[in-house]
Amino acid sequence: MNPFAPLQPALAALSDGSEILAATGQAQEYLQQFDVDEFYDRIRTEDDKRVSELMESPGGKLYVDVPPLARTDQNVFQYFVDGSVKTYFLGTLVEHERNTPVMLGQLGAAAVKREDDGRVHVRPSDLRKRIILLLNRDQVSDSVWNNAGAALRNARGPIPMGLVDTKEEDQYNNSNSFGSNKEPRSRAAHKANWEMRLLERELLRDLLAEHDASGAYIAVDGGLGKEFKLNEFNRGFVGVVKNFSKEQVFELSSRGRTIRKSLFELLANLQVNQRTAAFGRGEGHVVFWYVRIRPQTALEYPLMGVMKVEFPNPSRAMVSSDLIDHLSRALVAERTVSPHGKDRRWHAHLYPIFLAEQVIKNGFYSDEVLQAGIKWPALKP
Amino acid sequence: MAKTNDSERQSPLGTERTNVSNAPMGEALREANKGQQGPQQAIGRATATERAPNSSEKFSFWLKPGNMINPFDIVAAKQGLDDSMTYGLVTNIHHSTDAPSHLSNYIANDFGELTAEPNTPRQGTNVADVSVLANTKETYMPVQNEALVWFADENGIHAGLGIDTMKRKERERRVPICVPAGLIEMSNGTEAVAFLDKEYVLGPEGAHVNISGISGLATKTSYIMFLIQSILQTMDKRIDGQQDRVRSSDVAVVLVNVKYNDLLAIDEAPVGGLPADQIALWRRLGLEPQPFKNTTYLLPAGKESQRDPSRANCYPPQPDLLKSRIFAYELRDCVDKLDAMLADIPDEYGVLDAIVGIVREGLEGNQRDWQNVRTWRDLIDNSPLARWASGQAQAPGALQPRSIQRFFRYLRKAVYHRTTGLFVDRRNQSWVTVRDVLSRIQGGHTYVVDIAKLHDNEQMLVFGDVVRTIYGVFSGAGEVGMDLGEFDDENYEPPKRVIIFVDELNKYAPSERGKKSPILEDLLEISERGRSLGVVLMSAQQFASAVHDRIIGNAATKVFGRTAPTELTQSSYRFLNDDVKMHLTRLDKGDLVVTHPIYRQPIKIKFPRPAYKQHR
Repeated sequence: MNPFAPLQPALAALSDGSEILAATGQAQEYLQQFDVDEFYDRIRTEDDKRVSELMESPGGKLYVDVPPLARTDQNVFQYFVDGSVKTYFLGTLVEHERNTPVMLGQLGAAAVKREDDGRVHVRPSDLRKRIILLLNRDQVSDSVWNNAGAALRNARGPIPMGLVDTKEEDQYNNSNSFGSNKEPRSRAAHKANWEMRLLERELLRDLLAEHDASGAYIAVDGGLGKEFKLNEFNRGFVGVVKNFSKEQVFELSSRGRTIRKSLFELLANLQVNQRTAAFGRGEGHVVFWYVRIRPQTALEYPLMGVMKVEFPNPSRAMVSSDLIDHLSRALVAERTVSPHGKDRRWHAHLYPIFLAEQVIKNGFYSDEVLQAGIKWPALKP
Repeated sequence: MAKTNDSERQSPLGTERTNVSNAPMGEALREANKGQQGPQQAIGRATATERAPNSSEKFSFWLKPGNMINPFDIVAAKQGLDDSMTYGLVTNIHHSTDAPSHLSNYIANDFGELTAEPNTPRQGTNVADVSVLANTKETYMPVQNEALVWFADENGIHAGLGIDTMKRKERERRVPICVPAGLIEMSNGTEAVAFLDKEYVLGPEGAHVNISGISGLATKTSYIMFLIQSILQTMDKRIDGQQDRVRSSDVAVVLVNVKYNDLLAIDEAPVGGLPADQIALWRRLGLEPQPFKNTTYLLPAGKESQRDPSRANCYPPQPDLLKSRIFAYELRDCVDKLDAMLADIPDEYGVLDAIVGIVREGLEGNQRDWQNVRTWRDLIDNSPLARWASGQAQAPGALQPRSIQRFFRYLRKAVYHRTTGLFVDRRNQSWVTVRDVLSRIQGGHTYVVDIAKLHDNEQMLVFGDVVRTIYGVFSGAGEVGMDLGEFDDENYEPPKRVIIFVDELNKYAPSERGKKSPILEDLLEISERGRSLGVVLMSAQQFASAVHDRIIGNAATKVFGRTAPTELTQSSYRFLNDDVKMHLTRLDKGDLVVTHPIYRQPIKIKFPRPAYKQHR
């Protein structure tokens, strides 16, 4: 059975009255060439390039020892959330002088649950998937847009489907750092990422109930953007950034003296099993710090082996140093095992998050299925 | 879908056609699968990947964490496309993880950290490779990805192996067919009796059993002795109150004892009895532990026998004289075996062969010049041959005196100097020849021919005598012979079957690369025609590669004990898959792997110790 059959009415709606320049050889995966993690972190921190606000109490140390707190001693992080997206270029829709790429996204978000004995599994409710069609609303007529949207709303497939406007602004694409590159396909790819992030957020919302019940912490892949700037996301999880913006400069004051350190300088002196002091950004809505989980000597570059940890703080109150130490120690212990050889960011990657990513990716339809399953209705000669 | 399987059987009245209705396998198999269908009892799910697809012949499945299996376990999988079950034999188990290299594992453990347990254990799974045995609906579409897999139960194991067909045949014909061959034990504790189809052991469909494996570890002799006992007991079983035409009283067993006194007390119960677990195992197989009945020991004469005619040349303790006979060879007993006696002497131009021919012609034809040649001494000192050697008379043809002198040298060596005393000029009145006894072989009797203390050439002679005599009896059965009056039993009827067991078969039927054997042709004849005549060869050797291919090839049932890896590289083992071969190198003492025409894959079994007295 063709799993993309429910998509056909929407494709028919898109090609009804408009001209479709179909991608040669059916759907083609759209690959983003730059480092998405760092790109998004740069956007998130564009207003906080100068960091001076310490957000922990009592604090007092720039570098704090955080020896590993193994799962066998205390299973602090029990849920690991990741999302994944794969986008495909299906063709270009042309109406008069207007045109828009038509892209398809397979999105997924998953949470790996780790038991006290180390076994991991993904509960059915912790794996969410979506298929979306992306196109620029401004470039198509109302009838095409509405008919396609209706067809997708009525689609009865195993995975929910939806229509996404790539022109729609969100927390990222309206920022300065998003860049002048408004290339439509890149923009569509970003929108797919954004939709995925929303899927992750929905999953996290449900998992926070687990935190409230058991105290289990949740580690989410990636930093905490404005999408988490809601009161309901005020506890129980951290964002873990493997590849972060290097643009921050730290102004550190001590006994009447202020020194300025680049992130490079700050992290060069950070030793394994240490964290930095915790700083605030977004007016203290997010508290962040860096943890070195692997020794510099074993890695190729001093900034490798370091993860940036972000903690939600909607109340903007000082965060307990003990809590930050506790979470940092648990994160240091997460260095075993690692996805070395499977992911180039292995040095700062958490293996259970890698597993969550694998669960999602392994659940995607393969390129072969997608290419065979998605066909534009017979085009007019 | 019901099928009819016609098979032909040889009977004294001619070819008997029997119909074995091959009822749908599902019938027995549905019975087999009761109680094991729940996902809770499943041990894993089938897995098919781009690089390792499932096929009609094999499939793989991953194991649910906490479950253990072993090679040779038999599993049942939901086929996936219909509601049928596919049975398969586990041949290997792999453990794989998502680590692309060993270095990744090292690095992932915090660069070689040994003391701490990984915070999140590396994801890995155990995947079992399975060779397909059977499908309940005979659909051989590959087992589908994600299909649930269970341990098979006893009925399932029988169905998978094809034993259910034997059972059905037994029920329908009301004759015993299923010969217990050992017990299959699976990792979850399930046990199943492995049966051999009697018609593939004793004929007419197939015959012969060959066993190979490392001495001491493979327990080859013990197994054959168990199997013979099992066959004899099975033949006397009543099926629905009915007995077979051919019973154990119609079967003669001839065992050749080649090692110590291993088979010289097979009619006596073990000292102190068998251990309870062994008795239980016999009974689990539906058999009674018991020694052999009606046993006659044929023991060779030795040098000591000349002084004391009741003393045989065997490893002590010598069996009671009431149940044993001593055999020796006079010249006239050996006329047709001289070639065997001189088999290991190089004879590039066939000169010795020509001389042996002349001697046979003279003695067997009772030619005038040869009438007074009665003893070995006569042959060497006072025969036409002796006169030709000394130049007193002209030898026929181009035969040179020195060639005859060479023949005498070898003969003296064989008969006088390098002999254990087997050759005598005049046999004692109580002594017999092997031929005397075996040419009137009796059904229901077991004959042990002891050759353990004989030299190689003597062993060859005696075993050759056994083979030729028995084959002569069976191939000549039905011929109208001369009425010998009181010198013979006019009512003598040969048994309907005879089982011959010999160890160290490689000596008598060496591979084509090995040295020649004068009795190879006879053995080949038995292995190829014996099943239709009723002569069954059970043979053993350390290395199957050292035995003639046609002998091994004609053994319908092949059994393997622990085998050396170097041996397994030989072509004799080519029909076993590599995983099974590797397992042969690890078999425990007493564990055997059996292949049988009815089985679709080799199986691993254990068997009880024979229930007779063993001196060692």
